[in-house]
Amino acid sequence: MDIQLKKGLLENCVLAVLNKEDSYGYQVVKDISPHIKISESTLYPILKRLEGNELLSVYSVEHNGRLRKYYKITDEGKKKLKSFQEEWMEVMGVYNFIVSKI
Amino acid sequence: MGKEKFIDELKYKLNYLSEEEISKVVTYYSEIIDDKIEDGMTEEDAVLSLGSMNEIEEIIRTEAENYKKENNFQGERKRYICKNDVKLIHVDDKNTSIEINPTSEDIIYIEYYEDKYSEYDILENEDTVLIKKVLYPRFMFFGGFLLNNFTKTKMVINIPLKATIEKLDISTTNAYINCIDLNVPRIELESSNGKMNVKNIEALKGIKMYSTNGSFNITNLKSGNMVKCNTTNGAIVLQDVRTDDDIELKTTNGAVKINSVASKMLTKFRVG
Repeated sequence: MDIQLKKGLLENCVLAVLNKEDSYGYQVVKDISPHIKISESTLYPILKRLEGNELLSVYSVEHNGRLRKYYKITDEGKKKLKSFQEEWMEVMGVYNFIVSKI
Repeated sequence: MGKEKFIDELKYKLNYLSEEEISKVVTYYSEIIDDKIEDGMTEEDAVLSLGSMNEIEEIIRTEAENYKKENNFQGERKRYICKNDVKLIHVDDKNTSIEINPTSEDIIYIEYYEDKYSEYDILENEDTVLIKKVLYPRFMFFGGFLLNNFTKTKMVINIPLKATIEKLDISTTNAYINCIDLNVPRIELESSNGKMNVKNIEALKGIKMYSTNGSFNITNLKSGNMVKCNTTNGAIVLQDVRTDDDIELKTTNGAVKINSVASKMLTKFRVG
């Protein structure tokens, strides 16, 4: 898949997972993996970027004697998901047109 | 590989990043490994599943570079104000000119320049300030030929008259060091390839200057201890230098000019 396209999709995948409930790194990878290829290493810069753009926020929770970082979607993040949905409705329309001609 | 060794290697590979950034990456991977172990993996398998160190380093590095590029980091001059009663200032810089001047302000402050090619790690600990330049690796191999505008990028260390600093340990490459109108007991200056200008200085416990291709210009220096100048290809010019101890001047290919100098012993080494 095109790199930029994949990056964009992964960002929205992460936001989508967090939209359901707050989560942590390893869990996010587990939830997304069945649908698109992602590793912990590729997730790191995505989380960093989403945080930088204030689409998610970070907090720590104590778990079994250590601190675990949890990510929470922000209102801005929810807006971004919404616009992804709208934009891709349009994409789906064009996709159907292209495929109908093949 | 175990978790601890993995983390050590990670820190080593990413040592060009800022301390803050390294800490974030380490925390992230440490947590992932712990979660995988909790999920039933052995420590070895958890580390293996993260992929090769080279891949990890490339992903992190690319992200750091893109981030700076995207945020159109033009570069800015910043100011760091020392909080404590500083006794030692240690600077480990590259390709940056350094000026050490007095200031009429009440605080010791450092002015410096950061952009997408490099930034500084400043660590203040009790009575010590450590300033280290961090270069982004892609540019490390160019040896810093990119930074030509020394006025824009120079570092200026401002020391108030009443400050009681004991030692200045300043190191840079390919750039000049100017040290003017100061009273600091111990001074050590090092620059591979740049002029060193020392003027109106009182360094009672001694001053040492090292360079490869740089020349030294010392005017009006008073010391109670050793004055040592060591360069390979540079000239050494001394004017009005007084010390109770020895003066040692060493240069391979440079001329030595002395005017009005008083010391216990004056040694001039000229090799080659």
